[in-house]
Amino acid sequence: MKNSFIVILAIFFCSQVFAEIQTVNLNSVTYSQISDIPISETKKILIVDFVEGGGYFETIYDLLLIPGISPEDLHILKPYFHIDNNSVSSFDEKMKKNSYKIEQWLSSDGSQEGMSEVWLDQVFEPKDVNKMSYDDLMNLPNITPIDATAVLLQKDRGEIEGTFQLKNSPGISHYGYKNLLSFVSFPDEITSPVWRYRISSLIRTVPPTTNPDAEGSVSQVKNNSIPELFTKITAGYGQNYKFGIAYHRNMAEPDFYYDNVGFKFPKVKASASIENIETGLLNIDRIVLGNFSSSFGQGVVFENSDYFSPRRSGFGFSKRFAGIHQDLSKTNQYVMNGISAQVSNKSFRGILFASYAPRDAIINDDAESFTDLNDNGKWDVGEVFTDANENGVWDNASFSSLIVMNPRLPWGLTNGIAYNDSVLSHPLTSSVNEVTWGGHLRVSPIIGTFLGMSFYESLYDRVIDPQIKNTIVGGDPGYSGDDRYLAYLSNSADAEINAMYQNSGESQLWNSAKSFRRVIGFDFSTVIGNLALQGEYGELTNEKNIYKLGNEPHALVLNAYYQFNSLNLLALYRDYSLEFDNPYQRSFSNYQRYKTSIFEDTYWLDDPIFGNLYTANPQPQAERGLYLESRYQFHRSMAGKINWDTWTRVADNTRYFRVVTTIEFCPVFNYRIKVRQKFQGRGSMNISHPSPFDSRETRVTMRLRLSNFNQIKLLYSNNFTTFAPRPRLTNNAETESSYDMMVGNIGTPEETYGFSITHNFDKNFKIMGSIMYIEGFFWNFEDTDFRIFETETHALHNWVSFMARVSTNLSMRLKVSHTSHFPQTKITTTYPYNGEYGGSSTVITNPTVFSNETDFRLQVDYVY
Amino acid sequence: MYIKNIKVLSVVLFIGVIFSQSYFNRILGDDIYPISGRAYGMAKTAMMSDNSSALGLSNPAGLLKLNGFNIDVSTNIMRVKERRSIPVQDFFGDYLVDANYVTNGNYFNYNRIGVSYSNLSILPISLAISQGQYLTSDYLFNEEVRDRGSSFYKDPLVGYHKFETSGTLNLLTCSMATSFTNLFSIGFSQNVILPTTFTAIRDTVILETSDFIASEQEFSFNSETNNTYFAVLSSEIKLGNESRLALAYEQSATVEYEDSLVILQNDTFGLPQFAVDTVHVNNSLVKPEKYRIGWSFSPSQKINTTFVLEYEKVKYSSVAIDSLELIDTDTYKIGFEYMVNNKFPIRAGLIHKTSPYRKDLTESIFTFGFGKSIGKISYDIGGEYGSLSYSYFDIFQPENDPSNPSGIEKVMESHFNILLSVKYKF
Repeated sequence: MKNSFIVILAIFFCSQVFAEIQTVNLNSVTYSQISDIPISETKKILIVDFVEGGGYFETIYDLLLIPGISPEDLHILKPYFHIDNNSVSSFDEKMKKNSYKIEQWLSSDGSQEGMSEVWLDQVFEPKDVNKMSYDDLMNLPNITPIDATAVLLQKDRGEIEGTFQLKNSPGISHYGYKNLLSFVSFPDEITSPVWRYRISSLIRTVPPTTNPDAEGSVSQVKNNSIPELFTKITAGYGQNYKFGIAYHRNMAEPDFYYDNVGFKFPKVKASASIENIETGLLNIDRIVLGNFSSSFGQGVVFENSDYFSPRRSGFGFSKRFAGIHQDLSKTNQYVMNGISAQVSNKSFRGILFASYAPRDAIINDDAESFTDLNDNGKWDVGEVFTDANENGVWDNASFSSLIVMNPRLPWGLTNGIAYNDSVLSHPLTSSVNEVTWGGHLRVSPIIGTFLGMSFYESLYDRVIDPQIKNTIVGGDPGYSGDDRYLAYLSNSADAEINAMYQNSGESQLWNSAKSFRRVIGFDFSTVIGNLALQGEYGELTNEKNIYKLGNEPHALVLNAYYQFNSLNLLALYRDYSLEFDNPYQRSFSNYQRYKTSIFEDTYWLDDPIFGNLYTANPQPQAERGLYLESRYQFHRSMAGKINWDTWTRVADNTRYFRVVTTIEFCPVFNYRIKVRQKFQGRGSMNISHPSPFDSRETRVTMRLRLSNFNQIKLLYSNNFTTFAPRPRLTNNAETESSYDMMVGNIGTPEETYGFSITHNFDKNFKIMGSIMYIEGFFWNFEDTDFRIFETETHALHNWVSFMARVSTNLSMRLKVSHTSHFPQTKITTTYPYNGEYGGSSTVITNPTVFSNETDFRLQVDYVY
Repeated sequence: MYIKNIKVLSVVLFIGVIFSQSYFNRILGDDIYPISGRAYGMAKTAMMSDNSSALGLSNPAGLLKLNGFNIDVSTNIMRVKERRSIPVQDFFGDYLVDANYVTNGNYFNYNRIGVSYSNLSILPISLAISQGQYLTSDYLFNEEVRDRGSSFYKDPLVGYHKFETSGTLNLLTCSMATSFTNLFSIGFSQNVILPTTFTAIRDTVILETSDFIASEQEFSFNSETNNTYFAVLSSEIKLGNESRLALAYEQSATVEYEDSLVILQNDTFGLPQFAVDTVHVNNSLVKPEKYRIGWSFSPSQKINTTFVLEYEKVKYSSVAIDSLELIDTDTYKIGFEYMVNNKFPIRAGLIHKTSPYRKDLTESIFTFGFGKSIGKISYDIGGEYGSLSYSYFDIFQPENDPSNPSGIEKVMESHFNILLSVKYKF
């Protein structure tokens, strides 16, 4: 009883004492407010200086961030303060809330091809979900047609006033709802528009790869002296007005400047748009002046990007943008430059665009002869031509093909270095002018169902005439690919080259036109419950009656997507004609066009730069097959994924398969194990044919999550590829060496193991690092870069990355990597360079070969 | 074929090629002035990030930031690794790979000490004196030459090739800074390049006659330099509470010395080369004019961070060294510092600089660092790594080299430096 009385008395006493203390907002503290607090004067000044210097407190424990304030001081100070964070702006809050996503989008913009621009815009200026169209929703990351339709159906029921209605949209998935939240606002959250600016600059010497997939390879062009540079400046006012410029220079590429402007100004992409204007009958979704991008349906007819993306289904992470947008991406070949407009209402959407832009192309040597003013027999840049026919008109040469180049070098390459003395008869860069116009009309009879028609025409100021032997595989008669073209066993897909588009003709739209290409297509999309069906059919037409369908080269994509909360299934069928040579086709495919053709073997080509016809080609190859993809969450701690693809390469009728299964197991939250097994193959083993292969790839990743989002990741990878016997590699085991050995398989064992560490010092600063031991071939995503390694021996690859958010507006990311190849011991006999070869008396045996490479990536982003 | 464009002097005894960072330090010198560890870790942004008396050279106006009486010491260890290789071809005559034939790894050490004083509550003036090693011509090449082996005798040793240049210039800097308003300060320093001895040695030791060893040529030469003076002027402007902008100008200076090495231009590579004269020639090591601009951003926020940009233009085009054709260089530096818990700084940065010899030869250098303050003593450690690759002549080319008929080889050079600085504030 006595004790209870004492306790009550003590509580009463304490409550009286603390009731006397008027707590002060720590984020606006002044010296006079804390003059009576029982700590030293020096420490009071430290606290006030910290606040006046811009420091702010999220919790009382942030006092410990002030050098000189100890935990004992904190104990004394706690009763005197409270925290009020009203001064933090909504912009700062958005930056903090979405910092992880923003960081990812800013740093991976190159591979996203402009998508991150739209996503960033939408994060900073979220659109009222009630005013979002189907396209607006579909353009957001990881939103499926079923999720988008669910939101439209909910809107049809009545206004979506908040998260409750959004979450209960009929058929929306849990992840669809979660993904939407960062990008949408509700009617009572509308804020007045403000100006927003973003400046982003990337400089790097990371070796470029031919495509972001295990099938890619490292580009031969590695030049630390001229790094890749990508700078982008954008400004926007609310959701209605946007402006931007971008400058991109590939690694080892010269700077390109505007001609005749009086001063040196680099060629930039520039774009201005007016967006989201409601006019009653038809809303103006977007009018874009300058550089724009355009995409419809499944990418069969039109999508302008320079980059090939394997297995681009349009779902998950392989998103495809619908409609037109500003183009401030790295694309520099298939750039649209002109005007485009998109209007829509609830049941209709119309798009129209027109563009005039130069293209890089391979020019044939069939032009009228010219007088070489320099008498050096070459067509020099800037040289003035005289008309040899004296008809007052210079007769242009035809061109074999458009070509995407990375880097853009007017005269190609020699040993990976740009040079100005070439076998080419004409520079490649900006050698053909192209006018492209087209559009897309779409109607929506019911919510979630769309029927569309698309069309485009490209006009060129040169005749399209693929002179493969004369221009591309010709050359030194003693070392020419002419005899190999369409005849060599390992280049069985040469038929695809033989089916290149050819045309000559005129146009009433453009007097300079000498050839054209026209593609027409139809697409549909519908949602039935939790099933989405989509498809697109396109035809490349040479006939005057473009509406006569069925007898021209065509391409077809059909897909069905079934979505449950713990299971989804995608089935996709594609069928592309060999002759469907549409440079704007970006639909689903495993490989780029011209794979397994003579374009892969640059030593048979007249100039190695022609190898870009394959390595940098964004068009899909002609293939016919069925792709299945599914993810199933068996249990909260385990999920499985499978990609199953079987297809026929049309060019050589070869069968391929690719099966990838992934199991993710998370026994407790901190531990995650992922096992990925890939089986891939081409054809069936045949001792008379070197191309069939069979590969197995196993990859095990173990991730240990620590506190504060820190983690340690271990990786083990093992690949083995078996080829059919290659007779030329060895002699017969029997006595007569003229008989080549015809039995036995050969293979390439490859193995990699390593670890990576991520350490977050706090929310604004982290360091990542990794060490990998690589043997043979290895591909990996490290930080935000996709890397491919091919080492003759073994290699040690290390990298370290710093990510610092210097302030709310400014962030910086620096990554440095170093690869050290072990000494080469496989080479036993070599000969002096430029000396006699093949049996020379001087032989260098067992040379010592070291190799190491360093590269970096620096990105600075400013958002205001 | 490649040699046909080389300008040959009648007095030439041997021909080598000189360029860039270490082997070629004799021409322009390698800038090794030990700045503070803080600036070193932040892309060597000495102008904006230095917190020692070394500011007297890079940005004397910045000395006003150093309050009180400070003494600071910096010492660095530089490891330069150089690998030379020759191209080899396969049976079909196609280029196969670069085969390594010599690797040299050398360590060098340089130091600096300085004091600074200011009492801003009395007078807005800061004074500093600093002395340290500034430019070096240190380089050491050793090649162990071996012949083809036979059945019983594998790769016999037939001799050595050796080339060495040495000599480091010391710099004494007296600097002061003052300000008239809180927003603007100016600074000035007078610098003396102190006398030193330059040495050059070339030696071929022949143990056995071989096709793989160069003919026996030797020389060794020492030369004394004299005092040379140059001034640095800078100003710093405060842009609000969060950022500063600074501009600096550095005069040129010429160090005269005698030498046996004649500097020539090699038109084939667009690079300089050395020849040896039997009569001593008068050479000069010219430190050209430098223009610098820097911007530092330290946002007012909970965690202290600093973001720094610097640009430097060096007017090599105004330097006349015999027939050498030099071009102005541009150096871009970007660095940051993040104060973990406002107590433990972590720094990193990147430097991108062009070459004074060729436009297409640039080097990217990664820097990193951290620090710790204990009472009145603060320690800062900075490091850097960079590598460079270029094609060159064999500097010891045998007359009829059977392994490399063209005499052209590939040089891979990397350097890894660590710098420690200690500052004591009284």
